[in-house]
Amino acid sequence: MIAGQVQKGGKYVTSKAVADAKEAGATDIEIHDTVLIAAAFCMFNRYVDGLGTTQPRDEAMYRERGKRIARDGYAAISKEYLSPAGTR
Amino acid sequence: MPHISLPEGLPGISSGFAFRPETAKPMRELAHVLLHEPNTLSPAERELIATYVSSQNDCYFCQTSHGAAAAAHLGENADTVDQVKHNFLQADISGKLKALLVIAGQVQRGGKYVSPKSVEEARKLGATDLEIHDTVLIAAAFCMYNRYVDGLATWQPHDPAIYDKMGTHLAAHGYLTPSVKP
Repeated sequence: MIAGQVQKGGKYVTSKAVADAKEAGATDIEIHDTVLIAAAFCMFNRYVDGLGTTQPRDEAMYRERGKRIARDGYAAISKEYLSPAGTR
Repeated sequence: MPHISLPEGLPGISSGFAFRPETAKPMRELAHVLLHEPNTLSPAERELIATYVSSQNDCYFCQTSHGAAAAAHLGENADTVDQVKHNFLQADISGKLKALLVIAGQVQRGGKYVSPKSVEEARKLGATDLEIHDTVLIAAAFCMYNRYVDGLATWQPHDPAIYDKMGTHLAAHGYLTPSVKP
């Protein structure tokens, strides 16, 4: 709910949605990270589509990639195609 | 009132950064690379892109702090910041920057709004691939920063002196260290 509000815009996040989340057990850090994940994907999505990147429609490729990301995370996977300067 | 218990006395994004240093670090580094490190686009031009997108997203803290940074880089031309926010096509800026702001405005609406025509216009006015890439990414990144600052309902003071100080610090030092001390 909160993430969907952030996707529309930061000011759409309501005190009620936050109160409901806290009532259901969400901590401050969890709410913080939800807002930031949603905000960050508003960046990543615009970057990917804004440059008109090639986006294959091969489901199997995404599933394989998903397994590697789940296991190794995002910084590790980028080492496969970045020069040492691109990774720190 | 912020939606979560953010440290008091720190304006805008700095309260979020103090609350969660692990995510603050890459967010600061991204802003530093995009807006402050050497680039064929001047820091003023890049801060104007950030300010424009932030005003389109109606984020007071972001448009005012980056507007102050742009003004600090420009020296006397603080009017230019207002022109860019309200009517960039008539602003006292280069044709190339106007073309890049068109692209930034499209990104602000959504990545798919970026048209080949706008990109071609920017290229005709001298924009390089790197400049177009960075324009798209600055605009995209500010769609993140603006949502973070407003999404947490951070405290956003309305004292111009606070923003002038921030702008001077940001223009001189960039984004790696806090521009406001608690």
